Amino acid sequence: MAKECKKEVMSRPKRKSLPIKERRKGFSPVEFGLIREEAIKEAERCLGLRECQYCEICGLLCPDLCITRDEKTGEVLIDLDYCKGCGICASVCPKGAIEMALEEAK
Amino acid sequence: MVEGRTHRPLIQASRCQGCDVCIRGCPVELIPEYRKEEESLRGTLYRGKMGKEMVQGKVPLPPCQEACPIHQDARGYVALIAKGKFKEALELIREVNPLPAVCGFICHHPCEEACLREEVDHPIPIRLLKRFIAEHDRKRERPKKGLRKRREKILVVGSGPAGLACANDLSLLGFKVTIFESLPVLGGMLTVGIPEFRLPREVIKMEIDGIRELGVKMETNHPFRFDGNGRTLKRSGFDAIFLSMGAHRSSKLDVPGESLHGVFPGVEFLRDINLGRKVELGKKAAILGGGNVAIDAARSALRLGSKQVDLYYRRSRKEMPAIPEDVQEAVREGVHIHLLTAPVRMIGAGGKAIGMECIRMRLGEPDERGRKKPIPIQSSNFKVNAETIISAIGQRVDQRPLKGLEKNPDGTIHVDPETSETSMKGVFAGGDMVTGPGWAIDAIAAGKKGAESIHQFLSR
Repeated sequence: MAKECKKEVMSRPKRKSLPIKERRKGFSPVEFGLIREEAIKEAERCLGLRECQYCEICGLLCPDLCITRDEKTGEVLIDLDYCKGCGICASVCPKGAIEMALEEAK
Repeated sequence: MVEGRTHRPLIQASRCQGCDVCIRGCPVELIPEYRKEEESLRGTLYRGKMGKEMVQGKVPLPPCQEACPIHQDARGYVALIAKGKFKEALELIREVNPLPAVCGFICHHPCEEACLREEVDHPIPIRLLKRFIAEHDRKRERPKKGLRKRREKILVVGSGPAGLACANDLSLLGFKVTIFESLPVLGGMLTVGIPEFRLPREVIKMEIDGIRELGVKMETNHPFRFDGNGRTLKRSGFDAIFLSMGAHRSSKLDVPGESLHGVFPGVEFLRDINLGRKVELGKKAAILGGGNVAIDAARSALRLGSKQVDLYYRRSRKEMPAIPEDVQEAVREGVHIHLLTAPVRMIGAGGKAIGMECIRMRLGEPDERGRKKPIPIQSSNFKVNAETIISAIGQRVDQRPLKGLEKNPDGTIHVDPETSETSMKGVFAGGDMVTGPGWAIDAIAAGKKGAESIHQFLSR
């Protein structure tokens, strides 16, 4: 059922900080922040990312059977023509990957 | 609603993994009319059957969020950062945290300790990610919530993390908030306790400016005191008071020679350098204590020109209350740490400190708080030279402005644990002055709780 999350082991990256010699000269900040690429890379390691892991719980619990999985691409599809908007799928998704959006009046 | 049922579900306790999917999938809870039916048949049937954690709406939080005193949705903003949605991430953080940039620099990150990624390789650097987000969009304005205005005026005493959090939350609720700060600078311990190399001043200023823009009045150099006659609240002209004065006095060592020239109390030492006052330091400095103040004082002494800095702590490294990363950095910078050592007396010559006599300790049985008690080893005394001695062994609450308030034996203010109301009606308190010196994030949590209590108090 549920696909395992990405668990490739990553070595602990070396964090840059102010060189020891510089530190004695004044009170400038010691720790350096992350740059954009580092931040995204680190954030992607989170095990709780709200990304579909294809567990298909939504499809199993859908009262209208309108959530299906494309066998070829593996993508999860929601047939909105049959969906009555009960919100069960969004509620059960263990990854919080389904969001309910307000339907615009036609 | 239960009529017409032909089968009933039975939970087999041995096979239940507690995944919660059944609870979250039950459609009854999704129908608004059925949500509040504690008095109904179904509610009666289920009440008591399910564990407290299993009640709807109590879906277990991710461990990082559970560990955070203000329950910051760390997983949420980490996920948004992973997708590159930095603006939304900051908005999510701001929903509960009034000082994200400050937390990004100095939080002791209980979330990272709880992170499950630890089992795979190492935890997500949640604190640094928060710092990245807070710095990425420095200039962006806070969202102004157009809430209804309230007439009540509230006084917040002290502009530390607890006071700022309280003022922020109250002004978002529509109250008129004024902050009194007795020091010439805003920020409380964030400004006068934490040295600039750990938390740059412009970061605090940015956060405070953001809160001021919400309409909070801030008055520096404005002390506040209780007269002890119980009429202070009425006379002040405010409808409620939140006290967050912190613990700004160093505890006494209680050894001979403490009044010698060259012996500094830790908190006052840090306050002086952070306010830009001149502090004369000797070539050799000795720091006493193992908390954050001690580590900060040691690292500051190095930067102010002391050639050798020794830190003495009476327990072992494991018991040190300071953030482990900061201890590591201090060692890298050249602070010598001497463990299981305590001072016995200060040695002076001509009124100036020239050294101190120490005694070795060993660890005994754990005390009621779980920390092992240090016991002196007989006749293991030795002398060390030091021209500057900084004692950072603890902090107390300044008692002078707090006449007439009920206190705990250790000098902190006694409050109702549910509402954080003090013994005086309409006066609430939180932060270090209630719990004793603690973490910034706990103070923020206390401030938020105080704001909620004041809101309830004035809405009665």
